[in-house]
Formats: sequence, C-alpha cells, structure tokens
Amino acid sequence: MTNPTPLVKATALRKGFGKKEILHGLDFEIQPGRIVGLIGHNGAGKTTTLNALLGLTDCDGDITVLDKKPYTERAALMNEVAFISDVASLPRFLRVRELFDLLDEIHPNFSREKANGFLNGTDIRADAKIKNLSKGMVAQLHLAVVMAINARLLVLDEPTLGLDITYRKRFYKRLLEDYMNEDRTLLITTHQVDEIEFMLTDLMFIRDGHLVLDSPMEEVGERYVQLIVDAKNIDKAKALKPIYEETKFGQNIMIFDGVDHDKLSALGEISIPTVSDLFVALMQRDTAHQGEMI
Amino acid sequence: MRSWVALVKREFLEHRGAFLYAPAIITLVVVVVLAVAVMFNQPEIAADAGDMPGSVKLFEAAFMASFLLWSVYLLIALFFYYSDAFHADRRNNSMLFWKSMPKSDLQMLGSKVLAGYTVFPLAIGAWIMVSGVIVYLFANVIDMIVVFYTAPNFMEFINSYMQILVAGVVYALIALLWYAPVFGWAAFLGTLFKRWSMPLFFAIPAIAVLLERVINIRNFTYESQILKFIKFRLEMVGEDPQDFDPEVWIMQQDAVSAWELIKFAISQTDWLNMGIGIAILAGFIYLASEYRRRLIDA
Repeated sequence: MTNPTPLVKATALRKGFGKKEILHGLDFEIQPGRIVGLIGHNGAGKTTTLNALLGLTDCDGDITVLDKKPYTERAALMNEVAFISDVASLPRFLRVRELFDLLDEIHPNFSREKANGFLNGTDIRADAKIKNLSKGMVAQLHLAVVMAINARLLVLDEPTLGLDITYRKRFYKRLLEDYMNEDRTLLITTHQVDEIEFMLTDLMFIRDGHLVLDSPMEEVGERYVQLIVDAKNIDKAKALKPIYEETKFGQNIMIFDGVDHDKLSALGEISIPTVSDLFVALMQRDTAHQGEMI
Repeated sequence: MRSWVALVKREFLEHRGAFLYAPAIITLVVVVVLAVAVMFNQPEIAADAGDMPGSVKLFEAAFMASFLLWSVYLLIALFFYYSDAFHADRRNNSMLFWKSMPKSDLQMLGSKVLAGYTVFPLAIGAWIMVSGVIVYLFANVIDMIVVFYTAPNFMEFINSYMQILVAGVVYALIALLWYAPVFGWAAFLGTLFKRWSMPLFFAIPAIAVLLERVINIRNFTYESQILKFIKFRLEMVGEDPQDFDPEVWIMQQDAVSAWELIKFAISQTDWLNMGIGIAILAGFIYLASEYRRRLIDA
C-alpha cells in the first residue's frame, strides 16, 4: 500500500535568528489522519518548526502544508488549518458572544453551533469578557473555537501550559472524543508527554534543531525496548550497546535501539519504554552547553 | 464583504472608548457647564445674542463651533487610533489569534484604515448630530430667558441643521483624505515601534529637517524642503477664490447654504496632492503589513 499524499512535507527546513541557526535542515512528512507529538526541550526548535509550518515565519528549505506554501499563502491556508499558540492569544477586549459573532463572519469554516456545543457544561457564559475568564476557561474557550473550525490540520503548541491536571485531562478527552476523526490531523507539542502518549499515532523528537526521532508509535514499540536487567546479565546487556542506562530503586534499566527482542528477553524483563523514558534516553546531549559564569 | 464588516466591527469594539464613551462624557460635561453658564450669565448671553444678525445665527454659530471642535477631536482621536491600533494586538498576544484567521496581514491592517475612515468618523458624526440638537434646545432655553432673542422655529432649525451637517461632512471628508499620509505615517510607526511611535512621529521629521539644514549649512537662505512639504500637508491650503469669504458666509443674514461652502471646499482642495497623499497612506500600510507578516513575537 502506498502512502497517501502527505499533509505536511518539509525538506531541508532551516531557520536562523541572526547568526544562530535554530533548525538545521529538518526533513519530515505528516500523513493525514495522524496525531503527531512533536517533543523537545525548551529551545529545541519546536515552536520555530510550528511557526514555519503555519506561515508565521519565513525559512530556508522547502515546506508545503496542504499543497500550499505557508509563508506566502498563510491566509488561504488558515481556511483549513487551525492552531492554538503557546501563549493565551484570544483577544481579551471581547466578550465570548462578540468573539463568536466575529468568527461567524470572518472564518468561513467556523460553526457557531459546534462552538456552543463544546462550551456546554463549562462555566463560560456568553456575556463574559475574555479578560475576566480564568486561565483554564480561556484554554477551554480557545479549544472550543478551534474545534468548531472545520480544519484538516489542527496545531496545538503547548495548549495546556499552566493548567491544572483536571483541565488538562478534560482538554485532551474533549479533543479526542469530539474532534478527531480520520479526516483530521493533529500536531501537538507539550512537555507533559505522558498525558498525550495514549493518543499519539506518531512521535517526533527534536533536539537542538535536529529531528532525532520521527516514527509511527507502532514502530517505536518495535524498535525501542526497555530492559530491567537481571544483575547477573549486566555485562551481557551492556555488550548489546544500550542507548541509555539508569539505576532506579536498585534496578538496572537500559533502553536499546533496534536490538532483537528475543536476545533481550533472555537478559531480563523487557517492555516498551514510555515516551517520557524514551525522551530522556534520546535527548541526552553529549555536547550540552555547560553554562558560563555571569 | 461580511468579513470586512466584521473586521471593522472588531476595531470599533476595541477602540470604542475614544469614539463612543469619551464623547458621551464630554457631551454630558458640556451640557452641565452650558446649563450652569446659562443660569448664571444671562446678561452676557443676552448681549451676545443681541449681536447676532438673525434668529438662526446664534444656533448656527454655536452648532458650527461644536462641529469644528468635534472635528478637531476626531482628528486627534484618529491620530491616537492610528498610533495605537496597528500594534494593539501585540500587547496581549492576540496577534497570533488573528493570524490564525484566513485573512492576510494587509487585509487586517486595511480593515483598521477602513475603520478609521468609516465607523469612527460616523460615531463622531453621531455626536455632532446630538450636539446640534442640544444646541437647538439651548437656543430655546435662551429664547425663554432673553427677551429680545427668538430661537429659530422648527423648520428653520431643520434647514440650518441639515445645511451645516452636509457642508461639515464634506469638509470633514476632505480633511480626513487630505491628512491620509499623516495617519499612514502614524500607523507605520505604530506597527514598527509600538508605544514609541508617538514621540518618533515628531522626532523623525525633526531630525530629518535638522540633517537637511546641516547638509546645507553654507546656504544661509536655504529653506527646508521637508519642512515645506510638512507645512503644506498640514495646512490644507489650495486656491483661494476671491469671490467667497467663509466668515461672510457664516454671518450673512439668511440661513447658510451648504452648497456655497461645498463649492468653496472643492475649489480649495488640491486634488492631485490629495491623490498622492492617499497613495502615500496605501504605501505605508503595505510596508506595515509586510513588516507585520514577518513578526512572530507577540
């Protein structure tokens, strides 16, 4: 079976600010209907990648989203792409009703009925001023707005930043149950990787402007193995070149990349590493900046 | 079209304070002050009313004065609007929200200019109309307390009211279009420098004039071309026909005729430079939109 036309295709994507290069030639594709997690440290280039993809910044290399060049065709692209940025960006001077009135007229794919449906059961009132809503309410409102836009690609950049666990759980539940279907694609960045692991179909790790992992979740499970090594087999396990080792509660834990599962199961208890464990394993930086005296 | 109306509405909602609430407060204060003045200064008012050439003149003079003051208010408020509105959404990150809408940066900024030429002048226009009615009500009050003053009757009021409104609207429209490059300059600087745009609005031309003067320091009689251009754009001076004097027009015995003033305004206007000014505004807005297109900071 051949892959469908990718929704997003980036080739040799580069972006620098002044002399500092942030993205060092990223190559990736996002297929329709996928839920992709873009994970990385602060400053790794996640938001810059998203900005390039959303046409918010120019970049070198080639990037197409829904067959459009984002930077030159942003307005047209936004008919089919919705996004929530990493900072609260709803216009604070508006009331909720006024916001819906404007969206009704400005965005051809916005459904007021759906937005009202998504707000059902929340404490957000039509006459409430956005500036008077709590942080969680603003996040709920923004999610209701973007989910009410019939977009093919939804981009969420740290959408739950600063929210408590209840809001975060409700946010992702809503997203999965009420929004996602096979025609829609979701690209999400967050630091709370454990909370979105259950919903991801694809995983991308970005480190210092390089993609260190770009893989469907099922392949991640096949490729990476976590091994709790029996004490007597430590040397044998080390010989298989783990990409990460740690000792936790007296247990020796190693993560392997592309090593035969049968070989490893003979050395201890194997499992698929969680995204956060894999993140820690893959994101160690040999050349990490050591800091400087200030 | 619907989306343009919505974008203009958005501007009105964000900046209605200067064009709706503040004028309401000013009107209320002026009404109170006038009421007090009428109560305590009846002899002076009687003398002033007695100097007027006809019964409608007090009303016309007062209404025209309020029209003029509101027009000055409009120009000042628009200057602040252009200086603020083009970066207002960067204060609270909402620029990112508006960039998630299927509208280009040029359309977003264009809607701000459109608001500056439609809803805001209309809002002040509504206050001018209210002022006219208030002036007429005061004329009737003065009629009651000053023996030798007679307020215009209702038909005279309607006639003068409409004549002044029509003439004033044409004048205000010409002024708004004439000052287009000034607004464009304020908008452009607002987009680039946010709150620093206001001092820079004056500082950049001042520095340019100074540099020009320094370059031509050996020429003692040199006249700054930049300053000359600025004065020309600010003064709204055109051909001055000898057969019409606005002061005589206002103080004539009969009710004023809008058409005479409109003819005067049209003949006075330098239409070529008006067009150039509008093109300058369009150029500034285009440059501002290109700058905004490259902005990702909030």
